[in-house]
Amino acid sequence: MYMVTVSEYLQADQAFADSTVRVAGRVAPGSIEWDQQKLRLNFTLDDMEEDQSIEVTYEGIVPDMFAEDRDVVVEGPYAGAQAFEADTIITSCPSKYEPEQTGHE
Amino acid sequence: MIALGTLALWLALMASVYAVATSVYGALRGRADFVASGERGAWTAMASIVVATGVMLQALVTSDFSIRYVAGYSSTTLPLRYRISALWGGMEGSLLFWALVLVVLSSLVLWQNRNRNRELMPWVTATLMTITAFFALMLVFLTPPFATLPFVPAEGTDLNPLLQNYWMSIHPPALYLGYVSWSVPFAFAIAALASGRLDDLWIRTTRRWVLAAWFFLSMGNLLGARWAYEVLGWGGYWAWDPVENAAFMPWLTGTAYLHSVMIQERKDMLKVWNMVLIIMTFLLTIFGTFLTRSGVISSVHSFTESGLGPWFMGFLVFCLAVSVSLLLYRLDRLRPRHELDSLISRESSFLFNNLVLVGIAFATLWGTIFPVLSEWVRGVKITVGPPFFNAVNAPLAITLLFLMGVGPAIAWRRASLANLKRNFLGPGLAGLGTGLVALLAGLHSLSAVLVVSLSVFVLFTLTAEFYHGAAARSRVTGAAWPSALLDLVTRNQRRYGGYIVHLGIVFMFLGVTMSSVYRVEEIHTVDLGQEFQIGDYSLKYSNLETSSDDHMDRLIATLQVSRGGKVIDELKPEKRFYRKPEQPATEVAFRSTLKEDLYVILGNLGDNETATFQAYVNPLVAWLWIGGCVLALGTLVCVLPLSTRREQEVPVPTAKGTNT
Repeated sequence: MYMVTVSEYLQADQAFADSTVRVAGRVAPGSIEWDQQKLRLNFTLDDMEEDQSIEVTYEGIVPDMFAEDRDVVVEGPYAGAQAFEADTIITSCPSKYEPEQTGHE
Repeated sequence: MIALGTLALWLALMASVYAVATSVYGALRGRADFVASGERGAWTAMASIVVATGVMLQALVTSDFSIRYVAGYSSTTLPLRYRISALWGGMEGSLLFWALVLVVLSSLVLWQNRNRNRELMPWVTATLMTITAFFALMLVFLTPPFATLPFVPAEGTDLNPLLQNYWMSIHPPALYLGYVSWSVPFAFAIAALASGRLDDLWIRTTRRWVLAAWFFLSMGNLLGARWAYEVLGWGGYWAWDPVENAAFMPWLTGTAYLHSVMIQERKDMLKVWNMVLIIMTFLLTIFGTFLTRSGVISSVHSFTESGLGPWFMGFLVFCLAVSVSLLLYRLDRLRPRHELDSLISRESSFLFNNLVLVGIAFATLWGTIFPVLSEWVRGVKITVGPPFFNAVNAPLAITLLFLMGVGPAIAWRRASLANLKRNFLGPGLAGLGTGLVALLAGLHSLSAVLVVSLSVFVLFTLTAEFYHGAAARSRVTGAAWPSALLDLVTRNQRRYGGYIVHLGIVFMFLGVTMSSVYRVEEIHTVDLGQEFQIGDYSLKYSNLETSSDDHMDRLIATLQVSRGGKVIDELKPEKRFYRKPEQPATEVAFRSTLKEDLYVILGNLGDNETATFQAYVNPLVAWLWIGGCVLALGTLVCVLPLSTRREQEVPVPTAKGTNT
């Protein structure tokens, strides 16, 4: 599966069609919406450098390390211009000792 | 004090470089005075690293926040044991800790061999000091642990709360010991190549070191898995994460070496291969340290952006170049004196075992570094996930399980039909029968059926080994069964210790297979007083309490577990909210039985105490940990000096059994 940044994802156009993608970005402040009954999470994922972003939805329990302004990686099928349906949210690992680093679960 | 620490690191760097130069010169020119001077240089370097670590520990314990590292990973409210663990909590500290473990082991080697192996020792010293010099170089120039802050903060940022548990105190040290111990057999292998003492002296000298290294690396891996299971709270213990793979790969090649070295000891074959395996294992430990420390694989940043990358790559290439050159230089003299007699023999089963283990290591390496490779070749980072690793490694692992049943019972050189029939007919039929029963009982997964039936096959061959051995001893000595068995094991520690390790591996195979194939997962959002079902358990959310102290606020849910209408247990999964840094953390709760684990995570809490629980039933997962303990026991049987009785008894061949 491809591993890209938000801006690379947006540029890719149809190159990733029908494949799974991991997109790395930063959770936009104030964008987190969480519906507990439906276990549905919506948020905006900003590119870490450029002024670009995608909308992400996720179903399941919100990981501990998930929060505003944190670097996360979302994994799911390429969705083009539509909202990205993440199957997995990968947050930085507590054993990834560098405080400000993107990592894995 | 800070100046002392920095000075000690400089001294370590210079002394280790000096030790390398004088040892090599002394060995080449046959100058004992240079060799002796090199050893003194090595002792100086080792002492300096110990001093530097001491300074760092002192700074951590006394909260000297003028040091950036201390301010970044500790605080005045942090309990003492975590202040000590903070030594390996960050990049600089963990490289220092790596160097410390290396010099402690090196000093053991130098001490043990102060009057022995004089031909090999200059080269051993030179190799160990080259590695020390590399780490000292990093500590002096790249990641200086004693770097100071322009101002002294009143309080430190604290160790990440998720690292504040006792696993942090035991898992990294075990893993580092496991990594670093492989430097010792590697150093002896290089010494054998460089000095031309290519007989099995280096192998005999490092026998215990290899077993110890293997033991610690096994424990490092298992403790890491257990940590993930108990603390990280995603219901599993292994995710084919680069950091996990990093520790798994040298374990695989090390395991291969452990087996193939027996062929060299017995048949004087595979000399080149053993060198290759020990070199690979060492390189993988360095590579693993680098992967763990740099996060290069999973990070979106490109490889070259990580400051450590080029240095570690440079060191790896250097080690590889030196090892391969030496190996090529001695290739003619390493030619085997024997050829493989038959494909159906113990030798060849060991050879297959080696191929499979190295195959798994290679597949894992390929998958782990694929993002970097694809970035170089195609300009896009492509990651492979657990499905890739499982698909490739499962058939290999199942082959390995089969070979584990074959290896101990097949004859050396060439197995006759009679040997095959005698040793494998029973276990083979038992395995097939179990497979059939499993199929009829409704196990639908092919890999589960294969693993179950092969496990039974292996268990039968192992039991037969113990049975035949003890029966023979009992006939010879007239001793009763239990003492004959004990006698058997203490007289052939490595052989039977190895079988006990195999037993542990079988348990682990069962645990891993069943818990991954038949795991059940459910998510439920319930109000207080409501209940939900998973498997044949029903869980009633009966209470939610809060508590807080200086460090955190805690929300503790109580779940009443019942099965068949009867309350059998109570689970209390927790959600913690640390204050500094502000960070929620999950405390899982689980109920472990030999049959299955019921594992519950308190996910999110909403209004009116509504809670979301994620629950798992993991069948047979306890056997993974039981297998780990059996494996540890087996390794100890191999290593520990149990056989003192033998020396006492051998001169008196007529003695009637043992006196206990």
